[in-house]
Amino acid sequence: MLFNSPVFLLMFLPLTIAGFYWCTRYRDSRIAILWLLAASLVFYAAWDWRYLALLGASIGVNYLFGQRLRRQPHRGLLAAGVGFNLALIAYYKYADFFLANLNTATGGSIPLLALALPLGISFFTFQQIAYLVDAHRGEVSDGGFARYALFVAFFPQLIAGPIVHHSDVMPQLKRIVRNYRVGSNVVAQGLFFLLVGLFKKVVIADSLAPWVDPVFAAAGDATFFEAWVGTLAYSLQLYFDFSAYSEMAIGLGLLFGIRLPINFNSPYQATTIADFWRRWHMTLGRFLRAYLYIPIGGNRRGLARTLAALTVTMLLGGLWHGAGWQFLAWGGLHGLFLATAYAWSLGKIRLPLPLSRGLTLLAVCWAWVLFRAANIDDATTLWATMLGMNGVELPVLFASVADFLPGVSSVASSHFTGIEFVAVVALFYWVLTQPNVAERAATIVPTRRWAGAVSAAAIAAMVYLGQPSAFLYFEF
Amino acid sequence: MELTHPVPADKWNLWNRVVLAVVFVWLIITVATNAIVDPYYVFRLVPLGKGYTPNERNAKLEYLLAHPRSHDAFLIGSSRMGVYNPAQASALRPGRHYYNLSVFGGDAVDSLVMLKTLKAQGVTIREVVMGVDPGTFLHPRSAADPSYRHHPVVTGEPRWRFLVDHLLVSSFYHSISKLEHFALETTSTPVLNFDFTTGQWQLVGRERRIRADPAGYRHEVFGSRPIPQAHPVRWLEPRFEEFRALVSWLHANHVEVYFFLHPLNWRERKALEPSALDEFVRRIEGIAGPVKNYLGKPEWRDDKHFYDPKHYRPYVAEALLRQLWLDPSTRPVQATTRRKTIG
Repeated sequence: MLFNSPVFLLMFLPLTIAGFYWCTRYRDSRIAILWLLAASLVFYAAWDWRYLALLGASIGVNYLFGQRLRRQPHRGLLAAGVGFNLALIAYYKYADFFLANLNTATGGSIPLLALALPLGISFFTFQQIAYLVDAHRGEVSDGGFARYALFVAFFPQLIAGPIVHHSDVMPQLKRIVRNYRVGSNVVAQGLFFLLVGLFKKVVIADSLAPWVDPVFAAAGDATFFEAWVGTLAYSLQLYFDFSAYSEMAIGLGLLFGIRLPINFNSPYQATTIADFWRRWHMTLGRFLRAYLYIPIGGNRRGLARTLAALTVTMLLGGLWHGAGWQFLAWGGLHGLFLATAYAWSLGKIRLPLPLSRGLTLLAVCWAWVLFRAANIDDATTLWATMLGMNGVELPVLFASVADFLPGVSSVASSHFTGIEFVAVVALFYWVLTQPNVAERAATIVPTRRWAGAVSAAAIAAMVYLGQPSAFLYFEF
Repeated sequence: MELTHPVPADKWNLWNRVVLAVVFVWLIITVATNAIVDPYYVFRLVPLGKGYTPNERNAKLEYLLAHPRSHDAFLIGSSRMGVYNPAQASALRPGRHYYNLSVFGGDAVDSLVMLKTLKAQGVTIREVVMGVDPGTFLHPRSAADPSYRHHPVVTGEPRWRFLVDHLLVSSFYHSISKLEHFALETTSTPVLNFDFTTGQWQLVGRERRIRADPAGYRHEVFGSRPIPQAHPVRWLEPRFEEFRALVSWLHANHVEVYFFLHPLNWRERKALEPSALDEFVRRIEGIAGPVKNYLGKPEWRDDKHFYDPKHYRPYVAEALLRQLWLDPSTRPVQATTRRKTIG
């Protein structure tokens, strides 16, 4: 069930909301929590019911570990709990990657497991690792099994985040009591996030896909222009797609009075690569910082240790995104960017802000090629093309420009007329200069103008809601 | 993220209701339009004319699945094949009962999935004629357009999901087009006619305009277009593999198949480098063997033979079919395996 599917928007969501409000009004809070939990499990089962047991087992085992750690912190028990979660994700997500590489290295032919990746496993595993670590530190209180299960399985964030920290949500779940009321201002914000997020996904992100897919499907055939437009379009598609999902998740949470954390803060407006990682997938960054980077030393143990910690954190962060060498390479590239930026900052040399922002944006878009390409070979082929090493060809629309420039030719493109470049530049201008959805959500007022704007976004989204397409981050 | 402007709750209540009401009303309008006007010919609740559907993939399969024994030979390919008359094909091939299974933007993948589905559903496929369209080897597919959505039996999706999606799909352009077509049909001046029983399109409105003022029509459709310049072309490589898969399946299923290359309007031909076209022919023949090549036929290049730069008129199609089968050199592109006969 996708957020942007009619079944979700018109059947599941209204039923869940109606049931929740009925439970809080006529029953006690436990029933309301159980109703939401049941709805969340139905949501998950709609994807693949076979993995419902896995989700249940993960929640149950982690809850038991957490209870023990809360009462009696024990490093061995913590290691076992974290190990359980890592083993789960290693088995389902990385086993075939490991086996395939082992076969390649040894010439063996161990059969691959061909396991389907349980949806959301990367997210709910990290959520629970954080819970166990904090339970060991004495930083969690017991909210009961139902609330814990709901904290993990709450459907708005279950499949693709935000990676919710227990401190974000558990106190809010404890406030769901009899006659619980969600303020109309909160509902309004929820509608805003949901409908604007839907607009971003179906109108903007999905419209960019035709400029991305053909380029990355045949990397060796892309021209200079196609490679650049495809890369820039993908940078925008990923941002709009992923931020849209997070915003829809936030909006859905608000409809139940639950505030999920913001996950994107205009990342392409970042001034440095470190700033980028404080704005992009913020909840993942928070997790990596608190539970990986800082525990392995952070920036407190000298330059060499800091650079190593940055690199290791980003390598593993890359690997989290996918079981493939290109993801590892993408993480490593960002680790290199961060390490370079950190070392540069120690020299206290400041670049002019526009240059710093431009370089950061260029580096991020450059690295996205690895993220999207089918493999590292395709990525390097596209990079070479983007550098003009395979010739510089512009589409026919720019033939007069091509004629003017030495070494530049024009070719009839299979995929582009040339106008796409204008659209991509316009979108980037918007993204780089305008407030983001969360910033706008804080300023809405109940006026006709805002009602018109939100309604128009919803109608536009419904016009485009022809064939629902999956959110890109579902693959993780 | 907390709201910066404190506002009384009742104002927010009203605001929420207005937004939800607008969304709800739009939803009702969308559902009602899709169910009643039914532009994609899915629900068939209200008979609003008969000669219109933007989704041939669904409509043609629906008809053939309901009449599995009516046809055993198919014209396949893209919209360039749309005006081909299956009755003429049947007359030229006694014993065969042709149906025009071509679809908008139809390529090898479309043809293959539809043929496979028909065969799996018990339809006998004895013979196939395909016009190979170089355009389908150049342009990516419009995957998200509901007009290109295959019948649920082809995709394997549940019929309820297919219906629910079509209740909520955006369709105002096609709905208005269908209503316009219905209005014209009832006043005896239809613009186009789609015959579900044959799969053939008839662009009657364009034919009327051409007969009334041939020069005026040509000027209107072609006159303002710039003379194209030839440019190198990059063919979409996966399309050749998809074509190969179609050819292999046809051979494996003992289907007698005739391929030909469509005649191109002089503008379309001029926009493609001669070497690109030669390469295209070479690669197609490398997969399918010798094919009838009408790409550069001088007698079919002029604007007068075309509705637009891509689609030629029915008499051209008729002439090509006659040439295809009355030419003694024509041979089906058939492997040397034993033909399966209808038992």
